[in-house]
Amino acid sequence: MDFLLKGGIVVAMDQQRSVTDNCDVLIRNGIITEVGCDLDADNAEVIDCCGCVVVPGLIDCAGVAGTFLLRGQLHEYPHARIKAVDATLASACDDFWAADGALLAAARIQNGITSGAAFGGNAVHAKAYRAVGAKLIDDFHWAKSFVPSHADRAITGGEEYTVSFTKSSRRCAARVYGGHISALEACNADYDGAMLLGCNGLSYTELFHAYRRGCTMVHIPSHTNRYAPLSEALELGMAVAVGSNFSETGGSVDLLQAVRQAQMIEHLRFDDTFYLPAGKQLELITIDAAKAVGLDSVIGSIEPGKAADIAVFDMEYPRTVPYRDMPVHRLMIDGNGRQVRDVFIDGSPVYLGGRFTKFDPSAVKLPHIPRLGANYDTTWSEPVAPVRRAK
Amino acid sequence: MMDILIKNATVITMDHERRVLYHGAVAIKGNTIADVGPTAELCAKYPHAAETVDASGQIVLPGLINCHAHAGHCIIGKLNSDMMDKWWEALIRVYENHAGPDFWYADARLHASATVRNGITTSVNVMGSTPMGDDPTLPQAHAKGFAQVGSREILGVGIPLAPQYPKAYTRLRNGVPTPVLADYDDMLAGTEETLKTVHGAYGGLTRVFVTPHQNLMGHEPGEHVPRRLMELTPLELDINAKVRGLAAKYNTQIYCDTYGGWITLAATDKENALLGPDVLIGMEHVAAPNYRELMILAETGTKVYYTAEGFYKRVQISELMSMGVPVGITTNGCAPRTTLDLLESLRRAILAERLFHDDYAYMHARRALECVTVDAARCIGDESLGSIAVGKKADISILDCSSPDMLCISDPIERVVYGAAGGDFDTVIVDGKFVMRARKLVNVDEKDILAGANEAHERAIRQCGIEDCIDPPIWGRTRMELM
Repeated sequence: MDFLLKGGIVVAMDQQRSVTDNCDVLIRNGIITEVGCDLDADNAEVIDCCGCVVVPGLIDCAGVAGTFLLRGQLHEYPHARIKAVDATLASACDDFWAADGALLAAARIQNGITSGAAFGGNAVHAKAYRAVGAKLIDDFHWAKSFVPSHADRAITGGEEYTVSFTKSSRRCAARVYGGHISALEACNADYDGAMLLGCNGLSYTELFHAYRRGCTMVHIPSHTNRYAPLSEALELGMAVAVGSNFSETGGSVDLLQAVRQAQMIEHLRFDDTFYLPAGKQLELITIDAAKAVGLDSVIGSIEPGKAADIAVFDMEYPRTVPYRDMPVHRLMIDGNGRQVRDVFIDGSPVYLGGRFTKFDPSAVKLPHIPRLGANYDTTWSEPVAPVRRAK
Repeated sequence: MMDILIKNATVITMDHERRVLYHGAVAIKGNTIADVGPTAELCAKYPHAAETVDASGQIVLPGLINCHAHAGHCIIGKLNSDMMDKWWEALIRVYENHAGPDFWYADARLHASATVRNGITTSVNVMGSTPMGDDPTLPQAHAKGFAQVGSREILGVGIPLAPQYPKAYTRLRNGVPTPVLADYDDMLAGTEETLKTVHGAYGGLTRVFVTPHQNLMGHEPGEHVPRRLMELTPLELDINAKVRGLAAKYNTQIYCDTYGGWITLAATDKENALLGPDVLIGMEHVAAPNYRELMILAETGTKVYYTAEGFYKRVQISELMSMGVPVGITTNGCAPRTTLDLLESLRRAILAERLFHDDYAYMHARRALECVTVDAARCIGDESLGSIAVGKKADISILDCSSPDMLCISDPIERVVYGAAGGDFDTVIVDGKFVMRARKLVNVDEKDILAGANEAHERAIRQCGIEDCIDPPIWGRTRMELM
């Protein structure tokens, strides 16, 4: 089936970064074949995109398989959370993995995300994820990471870490914190081209090491209690993405919210409101993210020859009107994932008019979701969460 | 007979015990919450409610309270939004010279629609960028538009910033744009006229706070040079006395911004300092007040609102909360970098506090939710709002939990704070009346509102000749640079 997305505001993210009102996108055999005004539909089905902004399908480079079902729990206690999550996933059944894969893929599609990573998963998870119609970024070896720690503690686990990094011929992906890169360097590890997630607390020296080795960075604003050198990495010329990391500190699946949080953090770090303007924000979740995972020749922009991965945002809501004369600003500053109307992946309309075309979320068998950390309780009216131990 | 019975819901009451009811129900009579309890019990007690809402799988929350936003910004707030200095100038040109009642009416309808969709039932809105009190027809038009949608509005009207008074405006006089000079006394007179006509109007939905932009009106915004903060100017003493008098006369609150160093100086006005239990003070653009100043706020019973915006330095909101100061977390929406989505603002505030303290345990979900409900109600001086308990006003927002972002989160508070977003609200009740049902606004035609907003936007830009304030996106640069 071929489609003509008609009359939207197309934010192509091509070389020229063209933004064209009343523009059409022609999709044939899963590929974008033409972008322009008044295209001939021929036999293609016409989708009216008037009142919508049409962007490349968003790309979320961060996320850990199995943790979608465990969202929202124990965020105030990251060390306890990691232990509880690891224990839960170690004994998780196939139903659990399948439900996690399907619901994560569905949530991402509903937020306009067409490609996403789900590290540390298994075949059941991947199959369920793909069955929804979403693309899984899985050409990475997920290196076991340390728990979040300060640099002095990171060094002591160096050897195990190095082994984990070098045992694969595929590109590595790993969560790293300040001190980890120094540890890898000290062990003379080969982490060339790795995709580094988080990067909280990385020193400039570590950043230079990573840059020289061709690493890419995925900044996870919601997953931070220390700063990551996002702008510095961008200015070095590293390929950098912003990821949602739905699974960690209460980040939403929504990448628009995530990239706004990234902007807020840069403004705070530099005491300067000129960092990460709206245009740059959109790059960080489309074409830049495609570069970070090495897929920029295939996805990340709306151009002839690229895979037809497209998200259509309905702008006709009070929160984004008026938008005609500044669609990119309104989308990036005010829009959110709830405004996604249609999603095409490889030319297939997986989500149309706010509904899945083939997948039925209510048919997913929801497994028992364990309550993590029953030993912890939070009370009201204290800014810091007090801890109570169970009897 | 009950007017509305909401049943089968998870009810986050935010009442004194902070109860969460599963399979809970809420009964509403008139504009008041008449009963709260288990569904089985309330259904048996009130079998013939006029309206029944089956909220199975949904979360019932007190209507959220946004303690700070701006009137006007919904229509033109994103002009020059990559450049703060140009942004301020562009907006001021519109607000002070061209925006007539039509503009404010269109903005109010758009703003109110957006807030209702975001589960907000009370908004505090400053008139323009800086609280213009000179022309009461403008806040009157805004109040009318807001009330049409059915949402509560507290308008911040008073004395705007000025290098000196009188201040020059262009206002419509008999439909003709006319130059006007307004001294601060004229602005206070306009504020009094607004109080007379709008405060308590629309069945009590609308209120007015007396709003000098800052608690030191004789100082430059944000100024923190110590030798300039030695003493209050005669203008400041005069304004303080008049503002206090006006607020007392109409039994309302005072609303203003402050900055680091200013609280100490403000407190030297022993008679009329703009501090105290009737003052809600803005700390969203603060340059680091010191610890002694935080103690002054706590000791005087002053209330604080805050937005995590990344604009200037941090505000010690966790410290203030520890001291018992009520803190309202707000959208400041929709300023150049913020939405009107209060739940998103909440997550930003959580993130900022955790970053500042390098500690995830700060601003946990429960504490954060208090800052847009019960504590926000204390901030606006109306504790009949902000919680679901017998005798409280029936302002209720019902959250649809079918969004995949919320699907898997079992704890209802974590579900709201970490998973929900503005677009997830299904039903909103204000003062016992439905204003949104099944995501459709009840009192107004939304298409009509959007069309009116587009028209007002285009007209404002055309009339002011500020077409150049619409910037193309900045691509490929980490920081906004012009070369």
